[in-house]
Order: sequence, then C-alpha cells, then structure tokens
Amino acid sequence: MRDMYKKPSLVLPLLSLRKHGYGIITMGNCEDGFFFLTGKDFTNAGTASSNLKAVLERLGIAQDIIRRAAIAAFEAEMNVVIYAVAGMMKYRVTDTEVCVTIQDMGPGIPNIELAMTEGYSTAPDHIRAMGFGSGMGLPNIRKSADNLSVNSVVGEGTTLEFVIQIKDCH
Amino acid sequence: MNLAEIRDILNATVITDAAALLNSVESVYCADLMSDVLSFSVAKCLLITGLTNAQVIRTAEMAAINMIVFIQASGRQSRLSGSLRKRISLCL
Repeated sequence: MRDMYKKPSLVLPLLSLRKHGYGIITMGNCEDGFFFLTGKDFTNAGTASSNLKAVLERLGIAQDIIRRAAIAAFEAEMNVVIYAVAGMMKYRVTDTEVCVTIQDMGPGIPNIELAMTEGYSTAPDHIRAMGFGSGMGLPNIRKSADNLSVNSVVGEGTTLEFVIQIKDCH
Repeated sequence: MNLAEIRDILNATVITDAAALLNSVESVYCADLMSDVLSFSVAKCLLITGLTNAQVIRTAEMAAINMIVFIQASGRQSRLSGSLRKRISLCL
C-alpha cells in the first residue's frame, strides 16, 4: 500500500477517496496521515499545511520544529496548487523525526538542479501577482529541512520528501 | 512598542479584536513576496505587506506571524474570510 504513494500514476485512483480529504493512522509512537491537494484551488491552498501544523501542535512537537515543517510543507503545497493537477501530502511523525512526502500529478521538473537555484522561477504573471513565484520555494524547503529529496518525471509528476529531525519530542 | 502605538503612528484601521492591540512588537518584516516572508522573517514579528489576499494570512500562519499591517489596501480587507482573519491579529 505504501509503495502506491511513490508512483505518480497511481494517485488518480486514490482521488476516489477525496471526499474524506485526509486520513490518520496511529500505531505506537508513530502517527501517519495524509491530505489531498487540488491543483489551481487557491481558495483552499495552504489548508493541508495548516492541518499538518495542527497535528504537530497536538503531538506536542517543539515550536521551532513546527515552524520549519509548516514552512516547508506550505512551499511544497503551493507548488502543487500552482503547477499540478492534484496531489497528496503524506506525513509520518515519530519520536525522532517528522517526515513529509508531497506527491503530485503535474508537468514534472525538467531540471531539478536548476529549479533548486534561488530566484529561478517558471511562474506566470498571475501567480507573481499573488506574491508567489519568486523562485524561493524549493530553496526554502531545503533550508527548512534536514534532508530533502526530489524526484520527478516530466509529463507525470513530482515526488518531494523532506525530513526534519526532532531533537526533543516536546 | 505594542500594536496600539503602531496603529496611532500609522493612523491605521484595526480589523480584529481590540485585545490584540496589547501585543508587543519586537521585530518587523516587510515584503510583498511570500517566499521571502517564509525565508527571512522571524516568528512572532509584525509583517508589513501591500498584498491583500488569503495567502498572506496562510503565509503568516506558517511563519508563526500573528500581526499584519496591510498598506494602501483601503476596503480590500473584506476579501479575507472570517475564518482566516481569526488566526491573525490584523491592523490596516
């Protein structure tokens, strides 16, 4: 089941569960959950990141960790909303780390190294008018996270995963 | 310095509850690019921006900013939904 999340082409069937919008599974000292993301839905953009922040606060995670996770998740979520058709934000919180995976169905990133360059952006003018598209999204995620991996297939979508280590659980 | 003093200096209109005017302001960050806010601001600072859309509130929420001054935005604050405005102490 978890392998399905790693393949962009399998996200579409999962959209049939969209009416729920999220899921949470708790086992032992680990909590997993997910939120659906809708492309071009600027009205609700940021809701998933806000919900993730609420989860971390409920779990008693330190405020500096929450801020870093929220910033990284929000930048990733906005990339999905701006560029992709749909996506999913999946998280896992353990005693030692917060791991967030954002997977989307979208155009993909032809040159990831170039996309990670500060100031590089392919955002159209109407996105810049909203205050986004400055080319700092991926660099901000890299700056906020302890580990970051980005995989993308042009014409299919992108999977981004970041990990933030928890030094103190509370 | 607190929000009430800033309100008086700017002759601003407050669009949230009056209790928030007692919030102390330790630092200020000014930007119209949301990624710059996420990258360079500090938690609990006062954000000054010319943008007036819901994403400003979301950005402030993610960056742990709970005070915003919107500049040159007369009347446009009505576009911000009530649920989002509740998350932030706003001053226009």
